[in-house]
Amino acid sequence: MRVVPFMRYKWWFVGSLSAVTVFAIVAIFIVGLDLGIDFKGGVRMQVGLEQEATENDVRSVVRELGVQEPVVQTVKGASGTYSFMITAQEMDEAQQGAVEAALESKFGVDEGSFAVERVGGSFSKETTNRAFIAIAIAVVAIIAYLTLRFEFKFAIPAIVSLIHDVGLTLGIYAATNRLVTAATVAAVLTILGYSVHDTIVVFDRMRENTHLMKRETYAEMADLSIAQTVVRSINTSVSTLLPLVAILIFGGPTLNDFAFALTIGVITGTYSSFFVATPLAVILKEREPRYRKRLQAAAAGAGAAVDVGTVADAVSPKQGSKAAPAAPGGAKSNAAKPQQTRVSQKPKKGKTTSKRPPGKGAKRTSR
Amino acid sequence: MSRIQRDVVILIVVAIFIGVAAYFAFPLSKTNLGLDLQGGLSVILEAKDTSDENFSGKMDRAVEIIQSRVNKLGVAEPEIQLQGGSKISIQLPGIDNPEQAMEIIGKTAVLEFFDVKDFGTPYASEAEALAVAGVASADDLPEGTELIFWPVRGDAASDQYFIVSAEPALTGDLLKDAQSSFESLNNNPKVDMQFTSEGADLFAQVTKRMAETAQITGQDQLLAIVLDGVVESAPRVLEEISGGNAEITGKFTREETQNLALVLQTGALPIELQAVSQNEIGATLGKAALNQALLAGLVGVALVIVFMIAYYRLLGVVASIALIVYAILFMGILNAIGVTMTLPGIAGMILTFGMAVDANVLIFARMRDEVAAGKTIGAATSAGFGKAFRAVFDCNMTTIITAIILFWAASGGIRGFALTLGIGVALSFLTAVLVSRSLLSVLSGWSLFQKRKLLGLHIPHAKTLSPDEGGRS
Repeated sequence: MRVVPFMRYKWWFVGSLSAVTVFAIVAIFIVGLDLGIDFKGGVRMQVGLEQEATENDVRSVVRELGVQEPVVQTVKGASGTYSFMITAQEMDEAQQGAVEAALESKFGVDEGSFAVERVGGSFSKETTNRAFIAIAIAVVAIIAYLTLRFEFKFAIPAIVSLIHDVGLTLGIYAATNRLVTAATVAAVLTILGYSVHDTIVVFDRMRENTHLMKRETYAEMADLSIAQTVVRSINTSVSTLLPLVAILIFGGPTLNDFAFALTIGVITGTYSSFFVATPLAVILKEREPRYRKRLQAAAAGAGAAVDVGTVADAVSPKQGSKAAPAAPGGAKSNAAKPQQTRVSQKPKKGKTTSKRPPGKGAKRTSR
Repeated sequence: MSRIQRDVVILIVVAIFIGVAAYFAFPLSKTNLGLDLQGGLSVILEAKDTSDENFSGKMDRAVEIIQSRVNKLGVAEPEIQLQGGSKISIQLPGIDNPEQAMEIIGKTAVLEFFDVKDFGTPYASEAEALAVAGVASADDLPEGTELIFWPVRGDAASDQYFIVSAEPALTGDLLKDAQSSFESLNNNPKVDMQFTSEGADLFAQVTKRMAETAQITGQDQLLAIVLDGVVESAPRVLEEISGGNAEITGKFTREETQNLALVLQTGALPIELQAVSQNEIGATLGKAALNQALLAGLVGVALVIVFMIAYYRLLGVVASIALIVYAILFMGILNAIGVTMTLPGIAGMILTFGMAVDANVLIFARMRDEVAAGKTIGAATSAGFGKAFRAVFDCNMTTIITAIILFWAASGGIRGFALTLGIGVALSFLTAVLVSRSLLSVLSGWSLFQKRKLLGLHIPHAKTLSPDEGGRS
């Protein structure tokens, strides 16, 4: 296991990814999200035609009947050979019947592959409001839960990384003109719940390592925690991505929307837990006096070098906090006379490449 | 009881649950399919005016009336529910004629009989009617009268206006029954109505009075029959009509008279409703969506199993068994509590297949740490489960929390997603932890399960690792 001193670049990570988040959010506002009828009201009609037709054919049929600004799209993978989605903000039932009849006479409509969805203005407004309220409640609930189980200083970074995940997901929707539907909102909420998983995994390890590492700076401890959890976090994300990819490929047009948003969210959720949540947590925690002291001590002893490898020794499970006298004892004595003891341990290590004083990992273990 | 004995008991209990669940779950065709998977019509009606007195009582009554209308339509397994107080959600699976259904379920069907107040022919325009009445606008009409409109079908030029007494002489509440039939003269479709005895008396009284007035004044007396505020017909009353029968004629089609008879039979809705959301899905489309979703689900599960076994070997096999146990229990629960499966619901379920093994990934990774630190496989197993538990629990909780919030906020099919996601994550948490743990414990006696490499607990690419150096990762 190589401990990469990511946290030395914590500001860099937080800064650049925050910039990405801000950029995505600005893009959402400038380009605008393509909101579906779930949020604007209107009519969405799907027709399977028996004879060949193009989008333009269908569009002109719909236009001729006086429907304003119809959007006509080909539906891939739907049952009818020539399937189209016709969306319009205004199309009354008479017009809808006329469109159906006109398409029937020109191209033949497959009755079974016909679908209409009609959403009223007040209903769509309520859907929009509920979407916002639900997301707000979810954010508050996650902050509350993480505060309860961890601490507030962990909840904030977790939420900031969630904002990154959701912002980027919606930013991609805006940039690619993808239609935002009620399913997208469901996906966003799921991202909120799921993307925090990887953050919990690394924070859980940080919480544990805090008890085992009494001397190291918070950044070193965070780097070690990342190194210890990165592979499993990627694996959990992969295991979740696999079914999502299956839905993307085979799941049909309706589910595609779910899977697309979730796929982005799961991917961003993985790296943001390491590069947004963890650095932010380090920044917040290092403001606490005890970690600031350690930081100063580390800076003072920079020449002497702190090797995270030794840190990991102190933390190794067989000498875990409960069972092993070695670790706590070691930690205590180390605390009494900082730095030197640890440096002296270094030669025992397989690798001693700690040119950079703090946080260069020399440990390897499993993943 | 020893650890192994306990785990054997757990597995036996789980096996019993699997049996029960399988009984409910299979054949899978028993599952209630949502409209998006079998085609049909889904409508949400909302009350126009929520300030009505005894509003909730009226909504309950409206649900009952819609229920009986739907029953008369002959829809199998309709679902009609109050939603959030002022809305009624109606799900009509596998319906042939959604237009007719829309025509019927949401129709207020307030039937009123008005005594037309002016003498002579109806007016051709609103202005004319008001001029005759000597007022400038409809608001200025004498107390107790109002202007009503008779749109003559297919001919806007012959629309007619009446001034009537504001209080209807009679209402549809007093109807006993209604049927669709044909006029004997020209075979036009019409609706026959029978009043209750109270209604029959009242109807006789009203028509008697009107007939007398006609005789005295020599002017035709019209009785306007008004449905939902629109005049359907305005026959002349020539004599007292006793016996409690009345009819509505007009330029109806056969289908319209049938629909009208049906709504009159079930009574008027006590409150005016309008469709705020409507979703109609063709049967073929639903079937195709179901097949695509099932294919995606199967491929998804297969990919997860291949990944787990490739990465964690025998442990992966254990996780896969737990996953299959989860899938059977899940389907059993859904069918047992009668959840209607929607397309987003299936998406939620497929997603949980991926999330279910997350717990195993975290646990197995911990076990690798422990083995790397020099522990025996048995010790590593219990330490792995113990130490990973907190993170696994917290992860599942955040997803369950968001699923609950989504369930509250969503409507329609998305609720199905929230439901399967929430139940699925909670259940998979149990199977991933309990079932895989007990399986591992029971199987640990088997020599295969003592081989690190087979278990996937070896350290890939490890060069050297002395026990005292072992760290956790």
